[in-house]
Amino acid sequence: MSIEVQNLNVHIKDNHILKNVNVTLPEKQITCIIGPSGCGKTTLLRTLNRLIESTEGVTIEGKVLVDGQDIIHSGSEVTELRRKIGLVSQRPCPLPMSIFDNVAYGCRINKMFNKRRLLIYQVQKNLKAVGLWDEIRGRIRTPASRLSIGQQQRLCLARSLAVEPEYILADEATSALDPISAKTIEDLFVQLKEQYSIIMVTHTLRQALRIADHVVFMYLGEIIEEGSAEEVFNHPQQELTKKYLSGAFS
Amino acid sequence: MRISKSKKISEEIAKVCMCLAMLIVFGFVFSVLWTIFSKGMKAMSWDMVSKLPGGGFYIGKEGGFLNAIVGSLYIVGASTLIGLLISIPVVFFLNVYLKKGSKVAYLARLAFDVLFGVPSIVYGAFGFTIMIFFGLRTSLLGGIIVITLLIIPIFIRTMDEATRNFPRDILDASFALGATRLETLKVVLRQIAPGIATATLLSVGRAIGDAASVMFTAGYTDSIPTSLSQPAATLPLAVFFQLQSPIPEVVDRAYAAALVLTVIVLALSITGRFITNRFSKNKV
Repeated sequence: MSIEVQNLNVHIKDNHILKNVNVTLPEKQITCIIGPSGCGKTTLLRTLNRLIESTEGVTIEGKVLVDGQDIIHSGSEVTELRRKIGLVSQRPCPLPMSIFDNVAYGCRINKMFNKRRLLIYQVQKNLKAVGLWDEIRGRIRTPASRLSIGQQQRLCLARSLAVEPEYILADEATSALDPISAKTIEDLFVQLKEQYSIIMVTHTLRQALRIADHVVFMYLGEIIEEGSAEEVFNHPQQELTKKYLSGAFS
Repeated sequence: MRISKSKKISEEIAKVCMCLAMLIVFGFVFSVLWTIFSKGMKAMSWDMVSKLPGGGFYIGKEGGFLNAIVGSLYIVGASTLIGLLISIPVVFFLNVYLKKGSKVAYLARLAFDVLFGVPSIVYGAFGFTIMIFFGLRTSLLGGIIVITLLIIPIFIRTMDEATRNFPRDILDASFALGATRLETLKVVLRQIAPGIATATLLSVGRAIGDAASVMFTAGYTDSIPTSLSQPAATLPLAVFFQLQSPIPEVVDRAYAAALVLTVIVLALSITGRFITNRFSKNKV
């Protein structure tokens, strides 16, 4: 149960965004993808659940194997793939509905439960998992947009977890949050890695240092170095990685 | 010191200009309403809105213009419903199915802009040509078809504006949970509900008040149509025909018809705003 990327090249119109990317993302760990702005981190993440396909002029070459199956060219069902790979985006993005309906939305479209009692249980369970249940109990039918930004991000995480994914993609999931909310989300990821494989794009090196088990360093669309967090942070092999970690560029 | 004084003066001048512009607009609205109310109330009575034109109506005798009220509501109700059913899929296709920057979307928007600006008399003439081609007479159906054509560009452009500002992240959030584009329609509709309400109000306002397009297509009659193939009277045409009369009582009835038209539009606006507020509570 892992994600393996082989010779992946992504072009958007004339721009070669990802250049011959080869990487294996380990399961039940937190993998942090780091690198300067515009290096292709988000493109790589969006390729893993094929959201990149909604971009005009995109061409994808190479393979992305999820549980051994090539998701790019096998004609596999994209909706099933996306259910299996949850996404938490940079800015919290609640759907225009109530808190309950936000978490229930994915379960409903994937027809996961045929009894309302089970759906309610699933919503409660996931709101509890992200520590939101006690804060919002009694107003679960109010619009999600009334929650604070930090609460909204935890709601988005609960919504992703409710469809029982195997992987969670997080695209700078804490960058729009205040430090306390960011810390809450980080702690949640650390707890969740026992059940899910988490792939996280981050701009903050200190965050990667705190939570990463595995690190992928990208620069100008290429993977420069990857390995365990200990190896990459303490004994970087490549000159570029050393420079980036020392803050020579960002 | 001098600079701050000149800034203050220019600020004051701008403020006075804006207040003047506001006053002109308010004055205009008030004078329109005043004219319609003061002249329309002279002839207004319960009979006017509850009875069909009786014998001698057009020379100032008994009866009312219920035929025009019902005809207008039939045409506007049906064309709004059909317009919505056609416009929502178009807007959804432009914004969700087509990728950002799509040439098809660009051309479609250009076409709708052109249609948006076409005068209603042209729609009337076009509708008339089509009716001749199919051998149709002036009828309720003709009126509904032409008014639907007239309001579709308004629907699409207004809803499209609301949907183009739609946060792309919301679509991605829905897709990322495994939703198909069709399933995402529910999310889009909830988010653009206020936009749909605004588009409906604008369309209904245009549809109910347009005389030129229904003149050749719906025709005019003193009775209430009982089938789609019968002609239908409309309020704008009731105003138009009666205002030309040399008999003062009939001219007053024209203003009474204008008053009913205005009250219907006002009532729809207020209801629309109320509904919009209810629907936008979940908007993010």
